[in-house]
Amino acid sequence: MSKGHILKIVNIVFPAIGIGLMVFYDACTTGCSSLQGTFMGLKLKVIGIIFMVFLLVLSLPPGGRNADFVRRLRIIFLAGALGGEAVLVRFQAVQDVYCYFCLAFGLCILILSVANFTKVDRYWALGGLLSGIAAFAIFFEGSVLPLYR
Amino acid sequence: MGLKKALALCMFFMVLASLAAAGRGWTEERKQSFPSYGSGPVEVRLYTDYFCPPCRAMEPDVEKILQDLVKKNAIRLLLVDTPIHRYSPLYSRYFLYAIRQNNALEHILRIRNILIEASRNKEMTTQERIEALFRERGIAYSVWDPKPVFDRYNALITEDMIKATPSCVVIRNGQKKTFIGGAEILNALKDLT
Repeated sequence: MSKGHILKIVNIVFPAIGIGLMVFYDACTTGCSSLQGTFMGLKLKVIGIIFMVFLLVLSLPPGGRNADFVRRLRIIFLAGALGGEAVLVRFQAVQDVYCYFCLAFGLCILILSVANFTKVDRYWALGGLLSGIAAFAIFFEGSVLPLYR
Repeated sequence: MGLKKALALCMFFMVLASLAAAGRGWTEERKQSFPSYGSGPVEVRLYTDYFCPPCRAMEPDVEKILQDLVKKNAIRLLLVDTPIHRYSPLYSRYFLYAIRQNNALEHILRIRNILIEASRNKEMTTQERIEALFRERGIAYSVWDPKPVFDRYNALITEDMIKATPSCVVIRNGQKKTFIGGAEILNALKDLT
């Protein structure tokens, strides 16, 4: 199996796993955590599903003339998501509350990022990463204590 | 003493007495509407959510121990509904409506069980449906503004830094310990018996 084929499989399987993780996010076994977050007012769960669906769509059509553009777009978005995940993991570490579904989702993004990274697009990736960190630092709102409003 | 002075003094004491009576009534009314039971030396704060599967799972075992501890007056129990799920505040509101009518421990545990059972039904998400359920089960309730109780819940959740349910805070001899998860809570409560 060629490297391209493996990458195609990775680009389909991991977004699917990510969607599954977000769908089953509400399930709790030993305790139900109140860890919640929004990005620009939207629940992270929704953002996560939309993002992974977007990645799936990018991997479905045949490359053709747009292959370079699609690859670059994927790298920029993955780097942005990685930057966002860095902010989210930091929030969990500071609050000392961990969401295992979210961490597994972050791992999917990390694997996708490493698999898709190319040296040619390193500056695009760096730009995406910094943009992701900045966007989540500004627009992410997290809450840990479940309070009546 | 002049008649005017005597009359003024009389009026002053009447006002004072009525204020004291009103204050006592208000305090009792508040006590009646807050899920607090027993007056033992150990304070137990139990944080649960109707929609949390581990909370549901531990409820039958925890209930028996809590009833026993309250009966022995070993604890002062505070039940704090924790709003983790989007419909938890609605359920909590109706729980408080119901305990306004009858705040006996056996009765409120029955209401908790009814609400826990209802939370499994995905359509039980409106006040009309919960009211219909209460009517069907013969649960009396009265509508009132539970904001003071919600504020007290918030203060407790913030003070105890509750980040997950089920959680239980035990305050004994001025020392506070937090237990998370059904198994841990059950063991902690068994230690108090």
